[in-house]
Amino acid sequence: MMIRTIFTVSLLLAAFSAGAEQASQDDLNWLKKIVVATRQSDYTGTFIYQSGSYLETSRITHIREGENEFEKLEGLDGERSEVIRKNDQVWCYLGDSKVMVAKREGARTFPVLLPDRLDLLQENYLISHGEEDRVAGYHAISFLFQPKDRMRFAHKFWAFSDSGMLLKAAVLDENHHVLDQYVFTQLQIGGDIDRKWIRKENFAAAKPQANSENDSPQNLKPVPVESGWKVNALPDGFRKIAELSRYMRGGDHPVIQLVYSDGLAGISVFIEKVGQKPASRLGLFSKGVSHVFAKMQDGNLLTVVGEVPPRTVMQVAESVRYEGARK
Amino acid sequence: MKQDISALMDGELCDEEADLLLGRIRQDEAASKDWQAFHLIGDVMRQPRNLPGNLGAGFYARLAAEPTILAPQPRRQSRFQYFAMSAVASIMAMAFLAWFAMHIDKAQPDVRMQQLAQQPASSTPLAEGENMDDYLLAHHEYSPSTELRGANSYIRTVSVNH
Repeated sequence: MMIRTIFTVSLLLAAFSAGAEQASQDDLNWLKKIVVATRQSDYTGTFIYQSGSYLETSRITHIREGENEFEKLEGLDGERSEVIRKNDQVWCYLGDSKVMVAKREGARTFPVLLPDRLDLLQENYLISHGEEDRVAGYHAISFLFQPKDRMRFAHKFWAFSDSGMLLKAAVLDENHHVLDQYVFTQLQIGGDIDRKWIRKENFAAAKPQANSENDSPQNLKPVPVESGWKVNALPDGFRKIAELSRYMRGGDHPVIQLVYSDGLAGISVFIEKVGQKPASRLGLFSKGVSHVFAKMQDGNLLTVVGEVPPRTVMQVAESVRYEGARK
Repeated sequence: MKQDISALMDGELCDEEADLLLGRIRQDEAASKDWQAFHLIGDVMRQPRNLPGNLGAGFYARLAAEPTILAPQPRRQSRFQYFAMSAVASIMAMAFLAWFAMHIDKAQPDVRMQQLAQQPASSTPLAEGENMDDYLLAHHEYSPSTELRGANSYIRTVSVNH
């Protein structure tokens, strides 16, 4: 009898955990749907970006034509500003001048949420779908990413319940106060969307970069390195996704950059030799959800940046060590 | 010590540890300053527009002694020089750069700052072009937050401008 009870209980437990996993898988599928919908659909709309008391309104138009993806972003406040993008090429309009900002050789597929990235997300966040809501007139389903510890922020996304188009996104602190968010106030998905701007000439004859300092160190691409620098007290769930040697804007010496990710938030560690030159900006800084902590260590300036709480950038900065070249 | 204080404020210490630490904070002047600074940071994070009135004259004095940090750095470089920045890692990052570049010229105060009490105040003027925004920018090229938010991700850079 006892054995049978235990057997039944284990069966129930197994069924329960399988059910929980299934629900989570549904949520993950929804996330993939959000990513695909936001990149594959045609849409045009106005959104508000808010960070603290700062507010800005922009209009975005996104067109998918055949294999090509076009995007136009216009700032609606202040001075006229516009960015247009065709796949991996980006141009800026500043008043009357058009400038090609960057171009990447070779095709690049659109970034998607890869399976391993999703695993990483589940490791660090409890993913749940929350209440239904209405955003910009669309019926929306919300998803909450609740961090499993206090080393990262919570994220919440609202998606159109039909196509999965992302309608609203917010980063929340531990008391679920909004730190920053963007939200569509008006959105048209599909239908008659202005396509005149995607005509060829808009994307053809752009001036190359206005400054021809192509050989200066600042224009060198970041290169992967094994620097020998390590973060000893990396918060759980963060994994290294890049280790680079690069030049900062206007800098004449290489800077090591280590990048870590937990699937939603990123942390970069910058290490640069400054010798005895006093670094002028040490301490903790914040900008929206991003926090920066800078400190000196044996003639090196360490700068840690991430969309994580202050304690996280500080913990990382305090545990950066040089452990020499890998043996 | 600072990590302990942070843990205490987050309610991560047990009662005995908390009592012990509070005792040390009361006796240790440096720790006491850390404690105040951490709370100030917390207050600023939570309610940037409603700073507590009793910050202590010392904090404002230090803040006042930091002209280079709160004052906008006048941009003497051509705005186009911004576009000559290093090659970027992803499409989104490029759009990010573009958006950033357009907003940088407005020359408003950049990084809002909460200086830790224990950091020595430095009056060294910032070198031309030296700027925390560069680090934010370089970081965002690789940050997953840029990727997940997809096409709209670079709007966060707008905040660089405020």
